Amino acid sequence: MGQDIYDRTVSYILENQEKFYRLAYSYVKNRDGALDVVQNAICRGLEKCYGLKNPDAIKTWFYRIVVNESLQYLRKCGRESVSADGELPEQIYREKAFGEGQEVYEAVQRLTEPSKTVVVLHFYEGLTLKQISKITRTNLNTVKSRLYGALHKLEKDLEVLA
Amino acid sequence: MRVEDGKKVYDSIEIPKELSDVVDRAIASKNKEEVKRAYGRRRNRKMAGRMIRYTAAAAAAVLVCFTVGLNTSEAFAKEMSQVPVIGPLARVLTVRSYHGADGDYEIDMEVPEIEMDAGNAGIGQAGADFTGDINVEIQKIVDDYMEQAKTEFQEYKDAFFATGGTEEEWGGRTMDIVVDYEVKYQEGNFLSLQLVTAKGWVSAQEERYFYNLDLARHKNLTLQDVLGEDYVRICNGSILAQIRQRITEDENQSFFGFGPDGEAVAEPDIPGFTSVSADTKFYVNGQGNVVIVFEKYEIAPGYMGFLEFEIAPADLGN
Repeated sequence: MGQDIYDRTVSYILENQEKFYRLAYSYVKNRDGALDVVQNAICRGLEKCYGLKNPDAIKTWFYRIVVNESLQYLRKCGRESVSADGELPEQIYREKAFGEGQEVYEAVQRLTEPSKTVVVLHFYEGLTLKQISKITRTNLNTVKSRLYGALHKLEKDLEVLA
Repeated sequence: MRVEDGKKVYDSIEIPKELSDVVDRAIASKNKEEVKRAYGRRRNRKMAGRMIRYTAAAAAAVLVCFTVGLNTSEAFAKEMSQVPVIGPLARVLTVRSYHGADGDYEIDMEVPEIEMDAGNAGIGQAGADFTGDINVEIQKIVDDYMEQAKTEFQEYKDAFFATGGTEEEWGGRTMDIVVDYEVKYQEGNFLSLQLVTAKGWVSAQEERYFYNLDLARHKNLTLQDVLGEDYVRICNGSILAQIRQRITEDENQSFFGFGPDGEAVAEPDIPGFTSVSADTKFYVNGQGNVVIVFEKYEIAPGYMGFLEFEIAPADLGN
């Protein structure tokens, strides 16, 4: 009874949908946009799943799709700071509850691509730098230098705040 | 203060209750058999080169299915009964088929052409001209689409390198371009054909074109031709009822301009569905019923995707 790649992809999606949503949300910063991104990513992933040569690479492959869909979404509506229904993008204000965490999170959000992707995937999604290099299709050393660059920038940013 | 501290905030991003439905719906829209078939077809083509005959056979099979289908739409049946039945006048064939990589592009292309049955005396020059024009139009849509998609991707690529991106970072990105078609209905001299163009690089965009043709009378059929003079009232009534039903049966469905009770809002922020018009897209399905199509974002938020409303025979009233 071989579970084929389609079934594996579907169960992977079902198990990890919340992660994909958070990741998408951290880019597009609004609920409907993040839902759109997740939906597009799933359709795209399933369409292509039979082309996936190594089934063990599902994780990096699917993260790549979510990241790409998110970036595409931003490219399409990036310059508008208001969402489609005229409201300001939703903000999370929980400074009291999360204290320093909130500051760090916001500083991460201010990072520019592609550094932000590296930081989010590494620190918040717990992926290894090697996995990230596969997701972003970049050399491992490039990922490393982006990470250090980002950390350096975060450090400076947070010092100013402190 | 450490970067990891931000994870708490990240993990507290609220998960909307719609998520699981959006996910389920997206999965359902790409069911296994369909995905497998699409992939198998692609792979066969890659190995065997051009296999035009396959699609011709598929089109023929579709044709056989549909000739046994009944015209349940009365107005449509009436429309059909006024012209002499002269058998299948035309076939839809793939004239251009390409599956594979082409430089920066991964192309899956099936371009249809309507071929009139040369042996049929009922066609004549006017009939050949009519389908000829439509074929030219389809080819033009496809050619323009390919050109536009390629230009777009090339501009993106140029901008990427112009702003200091390296070959390594680019990492051999490609753009997917898809052109496909489906015969929605064929019966006697009536043909309902859907053409789809789609591109994907970092996200997918899709356009659908519909051709509803009366091949005997050389006419592009409108909603009025198929449903009669009263088509606006018939369609609007049916669509409004279906919107209401969908919203009340499933709280995750939403339409611009309609409240949670399924009733139209007096002054909506975003105008939603108000009425069909002569330009509203439609096709005829296997049961012979009209199906109204709205594009993504046209009357509902993007996650709802393309929306279809079947106009049932019961909606036609008397």
